[in-house]
Amino acid sequence: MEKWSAKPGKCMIETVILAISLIAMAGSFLVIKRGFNPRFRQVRHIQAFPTFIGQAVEKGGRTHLYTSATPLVTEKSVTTLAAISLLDSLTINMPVSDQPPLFTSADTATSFILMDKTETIFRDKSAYDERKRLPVYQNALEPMSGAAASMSFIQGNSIDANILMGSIGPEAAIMAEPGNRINIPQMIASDLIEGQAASQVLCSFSLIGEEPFIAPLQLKGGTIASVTLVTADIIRWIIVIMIILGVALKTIGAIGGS
Amino acid sequence: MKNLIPTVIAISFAVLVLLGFLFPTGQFLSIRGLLTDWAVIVAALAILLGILNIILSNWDRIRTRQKGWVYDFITIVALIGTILLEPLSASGTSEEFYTTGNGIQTVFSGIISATQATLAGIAVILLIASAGQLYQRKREVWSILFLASLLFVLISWVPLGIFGSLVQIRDWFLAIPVAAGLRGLIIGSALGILLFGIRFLIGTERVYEEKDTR
Repeated sequence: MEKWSAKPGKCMIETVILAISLIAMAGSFLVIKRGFNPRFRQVRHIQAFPTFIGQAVEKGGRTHLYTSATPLVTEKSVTTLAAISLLDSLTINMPVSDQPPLFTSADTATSFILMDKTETIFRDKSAYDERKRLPVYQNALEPMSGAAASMSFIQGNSIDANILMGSIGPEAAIMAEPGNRINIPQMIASDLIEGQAASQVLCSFSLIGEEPFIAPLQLKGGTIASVTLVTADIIRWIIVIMIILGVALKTIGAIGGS
Repeated sequence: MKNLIPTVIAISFAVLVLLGFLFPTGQFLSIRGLLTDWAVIVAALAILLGILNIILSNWDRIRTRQKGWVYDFITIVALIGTILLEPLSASGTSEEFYTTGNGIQTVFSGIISATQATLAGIAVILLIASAGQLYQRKREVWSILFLASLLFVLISWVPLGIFGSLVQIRDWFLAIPVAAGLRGLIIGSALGILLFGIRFLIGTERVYEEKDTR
């Protein structure tokens, strides 16, 4: 059991942050239930993206969705889960297109979850055929190979929209390049800085910072979504105040020390 | 009821692991270790199934003679060859894997690492080329700023010794504005992860849920 041990005092900050977040969430829930109608900072582009997918569906086009190669048993698993949640919101109308969407991943556990999700989406649209293979492919076993495999997927399957989600690093540049060349709408939702930089340059839509995690909520709507978004705003302001306080205290300390 | 049981199981296990992380002592720590070990075993089994899935989907493309089936054939041969290489070349100890000259080690350093390094290099070139294209496509402040920053940092890394003051400016540039921006993005990601985790813990985010649509 030694491999899992940690110093007890080290986790105090995490406990406090979690407690503050839970209190903020409970407070937001009570305020919204009493009729408060909050206005949020909208995630850029996210409202427009379903329209682009809709256009691809209407003209019978095919959408490629890649979910990152991050294994589901690491601390990064939450990013993969958020990507699957975003996929739920984005893929609602895709099965009705003449060409079904293509789902790829370079992680095995994620591929199995994608298969399950895809079956649900297809059944929901009465587009599921038990004799046909679900369009879910595990294209590799690690990120760079996954990126290289995705390139050939995009080039060889007449893709009309390309969505890359999860912990995607510099391989995002390789994965978005074929789509960029044929000028199709692309979105990268990554929690990694390298992936976010690539998405800014190569994609029409990029989700950065907390946006990949908040975007599914803005697409779904509802009370719980509003509660989470209000909590995000509250915690953001707490962080801003803490940073300003930290800078002020450090400056005062430096002046006092000299 | 169909969705209630998986939800209760998922939330209970998530809470137990979290408690083991926040209070890493006694029973909490033991339970966290046990559950994490289970997750690792399940993930290992998933990898075996994934390998089988890769073989079957590639075999399907070979059987139906789809475009580029030769590459699928090479994939299967490489996969099976690498699997067979381990028992053929190792003496059975885990240290053997890291020994120079070992078959698997040679495959990793000679093919996989080299290919990954090449792809990473291509990614950098693609980013530079795309920054130029972005500037041609959208001549706005941000694309100009991006291209200018990129060129400036690249030029300052040229080891000619004629850019003495540029190096100091670059170091300041990377240490202050770039680091500040990076921290902002990282704090944003952390905030998103925290809230998504809480939604998962309180059961409002159920990615494992099976919708009954039949």
